[in-house]
Amino acid sequence: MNTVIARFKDTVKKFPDNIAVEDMDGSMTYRELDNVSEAAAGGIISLLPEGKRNVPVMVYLPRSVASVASFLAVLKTGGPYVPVDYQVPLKRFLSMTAKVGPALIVTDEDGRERLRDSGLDWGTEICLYGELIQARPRPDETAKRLDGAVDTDPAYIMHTSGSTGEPKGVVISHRGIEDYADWLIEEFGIDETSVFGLQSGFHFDNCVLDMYGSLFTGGKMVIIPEVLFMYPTKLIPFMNERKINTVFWVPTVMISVANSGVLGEIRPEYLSTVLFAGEVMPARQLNVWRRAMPDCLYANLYGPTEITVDCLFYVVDREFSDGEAIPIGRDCPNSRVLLLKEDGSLAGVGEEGEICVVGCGVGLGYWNEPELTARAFVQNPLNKKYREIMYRTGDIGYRTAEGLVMYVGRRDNQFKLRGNRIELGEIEQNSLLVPGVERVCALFDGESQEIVLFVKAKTELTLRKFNLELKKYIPKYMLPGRLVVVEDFPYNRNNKIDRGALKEIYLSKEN
Amino acid sequence: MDVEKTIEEYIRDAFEIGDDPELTRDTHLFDEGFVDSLGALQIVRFLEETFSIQITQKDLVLYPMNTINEIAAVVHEKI
Amino acid sequence: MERQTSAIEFLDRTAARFPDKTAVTDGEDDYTFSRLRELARALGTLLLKKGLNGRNIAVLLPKKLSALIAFFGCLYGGCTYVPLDIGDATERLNRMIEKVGAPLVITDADNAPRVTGAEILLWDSVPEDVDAAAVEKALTAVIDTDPIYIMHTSGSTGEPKGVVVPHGGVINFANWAASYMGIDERDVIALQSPFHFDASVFDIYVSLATGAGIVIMPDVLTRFPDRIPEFLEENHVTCIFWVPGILADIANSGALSRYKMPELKKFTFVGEVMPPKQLNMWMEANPDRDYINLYGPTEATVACTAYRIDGPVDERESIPIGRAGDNMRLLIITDGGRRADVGETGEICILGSGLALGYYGEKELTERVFVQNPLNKSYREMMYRTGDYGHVNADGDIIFSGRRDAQVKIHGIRVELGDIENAAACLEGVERACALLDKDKNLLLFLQTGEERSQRRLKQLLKEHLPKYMLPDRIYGMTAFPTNKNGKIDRKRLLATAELKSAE
Repeated sequence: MNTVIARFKDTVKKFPDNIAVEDMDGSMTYRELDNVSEAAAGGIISLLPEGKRNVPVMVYLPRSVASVASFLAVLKTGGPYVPVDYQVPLKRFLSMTAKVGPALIVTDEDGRERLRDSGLDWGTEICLYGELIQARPRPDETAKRLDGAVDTDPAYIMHTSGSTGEPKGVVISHRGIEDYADWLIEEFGIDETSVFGLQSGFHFDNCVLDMYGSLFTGGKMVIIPEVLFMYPTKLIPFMNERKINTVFWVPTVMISVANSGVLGEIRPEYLSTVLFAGEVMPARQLNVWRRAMPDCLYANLYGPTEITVDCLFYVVDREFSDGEAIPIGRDCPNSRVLLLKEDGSLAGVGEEGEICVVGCGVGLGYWNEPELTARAFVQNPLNKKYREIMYRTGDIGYRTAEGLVMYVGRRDNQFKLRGNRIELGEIEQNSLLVPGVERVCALFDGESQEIVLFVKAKTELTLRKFNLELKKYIPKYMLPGRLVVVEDFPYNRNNKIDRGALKEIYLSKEN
Repeated sequence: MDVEKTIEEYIRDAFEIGDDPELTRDTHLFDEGFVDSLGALQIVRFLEETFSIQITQKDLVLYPMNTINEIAAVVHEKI
Repeated sequence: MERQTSAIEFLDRTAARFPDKTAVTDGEDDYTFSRLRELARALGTLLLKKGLNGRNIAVLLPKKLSALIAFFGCLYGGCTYVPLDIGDATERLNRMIEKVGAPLVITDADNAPRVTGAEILLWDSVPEDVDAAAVEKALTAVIDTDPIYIMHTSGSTGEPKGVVVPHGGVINFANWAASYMGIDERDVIALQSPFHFDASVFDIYVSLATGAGIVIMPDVLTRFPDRIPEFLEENHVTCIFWVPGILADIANSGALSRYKMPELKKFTFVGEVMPPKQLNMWMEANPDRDYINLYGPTEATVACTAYRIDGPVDERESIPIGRAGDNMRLLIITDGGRRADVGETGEICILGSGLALGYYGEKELTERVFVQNPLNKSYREMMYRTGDYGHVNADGDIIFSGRRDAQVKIHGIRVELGDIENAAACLEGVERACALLDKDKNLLLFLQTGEERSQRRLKQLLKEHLPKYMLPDRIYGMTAFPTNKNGKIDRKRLLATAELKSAE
């Protein structure tokens, strides 16, 4: 047995009565989590096709203890789990389901009702978490399945935005998770006294840090209710009440806490480790944190979903002036970051290049998308002698003389908004589904941090109504913040919309 | 003081909704796109100042505050 | 189990735990773990100073302790080592050095003059200075998908192929083998295999991982199999990981009745099929030991399956190769491209962490045998096609039936050469048997008999005991089989012998 479950079992043996995970409705100790997931695994196994390995199971549950128990249950059946955002637009969910081809969807009563009422054909079994955990455990069967598992098998599939309009399912192996978790446990001194304050959704790979950081050590993960992130002044008392000492948040949340001024009034008194990743962390807001909490360790992490969470990290070890860029740092052990110039050669110190990653954290591709996979996961062009798979992130950066990587920007139409990775193409493709829309073009305005959608339409449109319709297809965080109705678009010679010209026109109008 | 009226006037004004008849006291402010998530904090600040109440993190987690009527219900509890 | 990215971290940990314990002895010298580590770090320091981090370094040394210092030194210097055979022709050696692009060859004074086209470093001329910070930095930069060594295997084109094996493969194998065989620091492993053959990877890295000692067996002893048991007793050897040929020779030599080797508890064979007859001789002479059959190509890091043998085996049947080791999976795929049912023969294909990265600089060759698992359309999953055939029995164990070319049809009946060999080896007076097809598809049977026997007598014996369809076209008796450098039966020489005889 060489899966993350083996590591979880070690923890269960060592700390059976420690609380593993806690949400607003309750908590589970390691022993309880083991037993509950064992029962649910028994229930799931009876629904899996005979003799097939690595059959995915989708988990459609709110952020809760039940989610974690479900993920473990799926892992115990030897297959990968596929977390689905409980807020996901159902049409998006449907296209994900069709692509993944899961053995079943685990959900709760509300979720099942939603799926049923949608009138859509899900083409797969829909099971209630509450019923699965009543199933008879089948320890012999789970042991047999885990015995035959190898660490290159997939552990989870997480979806990211795709430029074709459909999300892509990134496949991550057990080996990738173990490697990542071992690094963070060692680097940040995670142990059974760690209390993580989970900000991330389970469909977003930042949660892998909190989840396996606790499951592998006997620490605790507190699922912070989403609503509290809207009220920073209320968030800090909650953290103190739950004695949260370790957080891994997107900068958006760090920024809003800093800007709210709450840190001047009340301090998260147990907090000792503050990690952030997912977008650029401005030094100004980081400095607010550092002044309020000077003894905490702060680290900037970097990595796309495709390489098991993170591949670069920087422990903040000096003062940064307010406008200064914070490095994304150096390679995590067991991953190697190469900065490749457009001609495929290695960028020198200070030279910009695409951030490319090799190592066993590199994902196994996009589920059921061999072509997309082959395009993004390529042979390292610098190595002509043996197989070495490299993931091209599409991010541009450069290395300082000290070997630290600095983030510059994107090579394409992808960007991050409040930590969410978004492809403009996905917004555009889905906007075309709104009645009356003829042609669209989306731009990201970095200045105002909002998505601007240019629309040529037959009918009159208001942003609110347009978004109400668009929300059926894409998640809320992808909705445009501004709608510009145009007569027609500027085109380039290939009869494609000229984004550059559009941006210029738009910007000049602003001024 | 008419709590509901005070809240509605504030929201119509602060989020530039004007007299749009689609906003009722039972409209889901966030789902229907009248208020964005950043606006939630603004509303809570307004309530705390205007009605001299404290809305705790427990209140936020326990009670839905998505419509004018729901928000008003929390305020009534407190004053 | 601590996670690590370079296999040499085993030595760091073991040297810290057992600094003064003897790590290796080769009959001339013996070194403790800490001494071995210091010398290797000194070499690593020198390689880093020369700016060779990340390069392939050839090692041309005899089967002595010095070779281990060279290998480990390369790893501390962030390099990949390429063990070469001093017995190889000089021209061939230089071709291999050139092909892997080695800028440097670590060798000794005897062999140095043979090397052309690369810098020479005499292993005993390395200053004992260690730049701990530089070594540490080089080690941190290593990731476990980086190559640890390039091991050459013979290629059908006549040119050797360099199999590139990653650190992760060796780490995974050593951890599994040590735990499967229950090896710890009290064990003593006798190293028989030459370093350019990957069976030695077991001895080296299981020792480093556990603190078990290594005794390097002098090559000369392979010519005197009856003396080997005495050697094993004298050196308190507890574990061997050897090719079956030598074990068969020992059994045939009669030495098993004179030496009980009470400390030798772990008895493992790998590299070719263990003849059941001689295995039974061992088991009868020394019951209550662990007898383990392993299987695996160099392309999947030493061995990837194991089978524990409970007691004397049926001499007419093949010994199973068992089940996959940790993080390895074996699939039997039929010629039609589907997964074979129980009992159905197909090609043995391997997946998992131990897969090699391919053949060095041989893209086409690599892509022919390292392929996407054809049964998996959902994500990237590399699979190595071994070219070996086998099936899964009702117990779930894999039975190896031979190379793709070892299956013959005689009068329409599919016969495995291995079955003929096993049947023939059961005959009285026959020590070992080897069945081969010549280029005209004649079935040739070679028999190793302790003493000269007439052709006629052998034919008669076979007729009496073998089913008719298994009868060979020609039989050759000989007192000893020719073996290659790795101690395996040299099939090419057998065929050459046959050609000579038929020409006579």
